[in-house]
Amino acid sequence: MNERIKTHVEGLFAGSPQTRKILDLKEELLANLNSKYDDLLAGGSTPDDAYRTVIDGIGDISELVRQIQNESAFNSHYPTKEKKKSAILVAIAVGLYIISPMCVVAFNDAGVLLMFTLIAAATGLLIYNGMTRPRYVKEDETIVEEFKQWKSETSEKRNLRRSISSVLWPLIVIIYLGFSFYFGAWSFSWIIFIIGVFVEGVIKLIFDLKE
Amino acid sequence: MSITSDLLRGHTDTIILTRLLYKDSYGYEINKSIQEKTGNRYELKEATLYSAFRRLEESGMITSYWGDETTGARRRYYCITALGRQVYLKNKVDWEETKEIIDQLLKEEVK
Repeated sequence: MNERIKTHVEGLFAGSPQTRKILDLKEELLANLNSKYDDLLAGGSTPDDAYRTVIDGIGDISELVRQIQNESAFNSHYPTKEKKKSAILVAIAVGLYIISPMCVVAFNDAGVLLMFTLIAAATGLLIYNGMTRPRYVKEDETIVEEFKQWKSETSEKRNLRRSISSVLWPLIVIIYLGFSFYFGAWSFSWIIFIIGVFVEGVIKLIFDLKE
Repeated sequence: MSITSDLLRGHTDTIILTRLLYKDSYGYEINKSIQEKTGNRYELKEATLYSAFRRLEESGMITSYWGDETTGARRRYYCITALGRQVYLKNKVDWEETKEIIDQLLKEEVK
């Protein structure tokens, strides 16, 4: 490994972020330049001539480095689009929850059926959103970012569980109110809350067993 | 030489694909064989070479892997894909045709 070549190449990459792709390029470049240097020496060049020939042969590498950097910058735009989608899904779901009790007021008997349909649709949306929620996307190829992505992926299961329980309780309240109003069954309909605790426990158990 | 370089530059990708047809290779080896084949008349700049590698790899014409050299620095090897071979064949046919057309057009005619 020729130190002068190494110093020169370090200089070429001085302003660049230390991403995996940049480091790879640097390593590849150094290995090839050194092979060339050794070949030139073996062919009878003086060290100075060989060094100059090797350095002259590099050309303008800044454009290539810039391309690699832009590529990582492009990747980080990705999550904002996903976030937007997620926000729209949640907004629609909340809207459906709010509208659903009105059906009972407007249509009486058939309204209850409609109400539960709307609630089911809204719940479906929330669960879908929880499952397709944007993962953490690496901003660049550094090891720190890789770790963040790994961490985010392992906690994804936990996220899914959390989104299921966040849907579960509003749903239970709505069923409680709907059922009680419709059948006037206030005296015993509270039991649904106990069932709810039970259901949540079962969900937790299923997730724990999977892990 | 500068005009020749311009003409050659448009074929950098095909030239690299050709060097990879029969064996995997790394940057310096590819460049050295280009130099040898042309009797030291042509050589790619490192920057040109790696830009081409990147372009070819992104479009799926070559893949790369790190060699396991026991001594010295690791080398990155490139390997041509089936798509790369197809593109090579197509470019070669295109070039034959272009060459023929230009030959015809640049021919001095006695009239």
